[in-house]
Amino acid sequence: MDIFLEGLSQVANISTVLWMSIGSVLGILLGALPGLTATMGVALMMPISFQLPAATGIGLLLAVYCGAVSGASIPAILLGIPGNPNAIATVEDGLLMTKRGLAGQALGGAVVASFIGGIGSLICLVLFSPLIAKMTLAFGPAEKTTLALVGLVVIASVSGDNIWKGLLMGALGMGLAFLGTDPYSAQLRIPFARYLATTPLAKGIDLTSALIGLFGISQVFLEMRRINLPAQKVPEVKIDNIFPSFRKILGMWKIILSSLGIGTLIGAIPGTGASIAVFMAHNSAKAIAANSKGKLDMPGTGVIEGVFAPEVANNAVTGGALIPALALGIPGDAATAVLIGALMIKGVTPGFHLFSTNMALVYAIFITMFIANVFMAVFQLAGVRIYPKVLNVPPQILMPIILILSFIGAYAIAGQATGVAIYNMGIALVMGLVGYFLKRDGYPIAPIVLGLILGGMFEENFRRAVKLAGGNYLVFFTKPICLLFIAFSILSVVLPIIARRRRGGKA
Amino acid sequence: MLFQNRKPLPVVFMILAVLYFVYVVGSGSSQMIGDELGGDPGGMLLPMVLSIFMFIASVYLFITDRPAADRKPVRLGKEERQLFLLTIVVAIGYVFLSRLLGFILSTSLVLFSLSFANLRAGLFRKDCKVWLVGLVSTTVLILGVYSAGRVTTRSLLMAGRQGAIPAWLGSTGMVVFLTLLVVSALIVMLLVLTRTRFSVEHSGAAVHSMWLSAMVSIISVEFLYLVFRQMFYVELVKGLITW
Repeated sequence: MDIFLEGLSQVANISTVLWMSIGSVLGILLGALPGLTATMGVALMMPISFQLPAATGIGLLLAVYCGAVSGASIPAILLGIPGNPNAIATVEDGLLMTKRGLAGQALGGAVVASFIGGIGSLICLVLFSPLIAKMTLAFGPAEKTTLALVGLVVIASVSGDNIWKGLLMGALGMGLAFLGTDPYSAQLRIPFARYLATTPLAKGIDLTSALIGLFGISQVFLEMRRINLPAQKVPEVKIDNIFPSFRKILGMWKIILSSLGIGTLIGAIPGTGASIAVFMAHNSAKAIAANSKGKLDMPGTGVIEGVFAPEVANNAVTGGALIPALALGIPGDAATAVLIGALMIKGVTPGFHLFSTNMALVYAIFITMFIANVFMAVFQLAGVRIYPKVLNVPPQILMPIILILSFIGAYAIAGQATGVAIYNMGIALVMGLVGYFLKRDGYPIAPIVLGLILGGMFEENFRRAVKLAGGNYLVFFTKPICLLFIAFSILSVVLPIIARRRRGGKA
Repeated sequence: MLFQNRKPLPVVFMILAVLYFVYVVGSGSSQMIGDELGGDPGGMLLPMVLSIFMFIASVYLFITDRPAADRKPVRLGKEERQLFLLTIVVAIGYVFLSRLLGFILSTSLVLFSLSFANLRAGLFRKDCKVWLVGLVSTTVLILGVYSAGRVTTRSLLMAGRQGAIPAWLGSTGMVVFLTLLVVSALIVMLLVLTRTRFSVEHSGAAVHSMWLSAMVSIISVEFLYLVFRQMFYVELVKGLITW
């Protein structure tokens, strides 16, 4: 109880509440703007979170994350364009409801559903993450090496439609993580070491700048390609009857529970993400409605059931994705990968160590997650008539601002060291260009982030394990947990390849 | 023939993997003395394995990943290409020149120029004069707003230290808040005074775009300055502005 109160004290202050309110509103706005993702929002807010105490900073990022996931439903319902892939399954029923004059009910229903999904998955997070973290107590360097391998391989194999592209990106991320100084011998591992030894690059690639470049700057370049396309006008719709009746919500309990389960579970599997969960939840809702003997309306025909299912699921992904992130240090999706990066910059390493040495911070994270969901619901409902107006902001103005915000973010991480700050801006720009070309050709970005984050953990534990085994590389095949992880890694590569071959697609 | 109908990125990765491999081999062992006995594989083993894997994966993608026959590649129009290149050039310029010009000047110039070019949907010779007038006006206005903010901040901090105002009024948070109020009041005044004068109907599309870009630039730069410099003490380079 004392530890819980200590965690609460880290959160219960004006600064945290204020920053989380700002984060929540910003997240909703970002989510509402088509093309801007939750991951990008979290990456852009990282430099600000860096300046705040750990709990407040994480609270700010979680508020942006939850807000952006929920805010994506606004353009999905009003325009039929999802703000980001999280709301892709909300389009069908949301847009039909708008056309039937039920936009208010759809927008309000989406918020209520997001809140239920967020809080439900938070309960799962609170229940399961300490248990999973406890399991890692038995992990030595060999197990940790293979665990990092699982994280890398799984996310590479499920993100994108070509497994080789994912694996190549994971390798690229690891390659970037290895740049800098050898953690054991302190030898420089950068090309042109004679010239770069005295530069900040000698310490390796700055993670925050790389993330800002990959998710912020690259998106600006990508959006420039369609900047002259005619903007879609927000229809003049009457937004009223926002709250769905309590009876209606209770009547959908089966849909809510199934979507919650799907969202949390899919979120907890590294790399799968909300876009898979929302379609599964929508399909499951259809099956439930078909067996309801007419008590529920059929999703897909412009009904609240069809908005509720994907919206519960996508916000359930937020809590689900945090389960492996906090317990194992393996992020569930790209946004949680950025969150882990933010924790690591603060000197906090997720996993059992975090649960055993800094449980107060873990509680603080749980509490901020709760507040983030409450704020998301309150601010989105309060501004349900205002947020749609954001869709009228022309991208011609928005993109230059995001570009500058990205650069300032990369700069600000260095604080007082202006020389390092300029290098950081350079890293962000280079990574932005790299990210642009990769995204343009369909290469997934998430595995690069995983490689960058897990590369260090993988190398450190790999070398320690081999060293402890007296140079025996077969040590990884002598421990049951390692064998389990290796088998899981192999299966996660082989099974998607077989499945895609059967469908007649590419590996 | 071999390179016909292929995507360029796998080739880039192949070259990258080869260069990485050559670099790793050329770097030699990173084992410390005595590590041969201790069993440390050294810091170059994993990079070498990675480079080999990257080469194999990129060769595989080179062979298998071809553009879909039924899908035509997206060709950018002349204006989009210009805007895209302008964004890249301006971004590179910003990284290299921000130290020399300083945060306030470089950021406002970049924001104004990019917003203006985007709003005009391309780079046109006929817009040059308007762009130049806008650039000068933005610089003058941002210097005015920035200076007003600096004077407010310094006066409040000084008064707080000398005890001329209550201590809470001279605290960092309050000073930032009051400076934000002063700066916001100035900007709102500027907006109200110029809005009608620079409307599309009154002054034409080009001048309206110039006004909008200038306002966006001034508001964003001053707000970012207040948040990062005054609230979080990030050392934003002063460059040519010494006050």
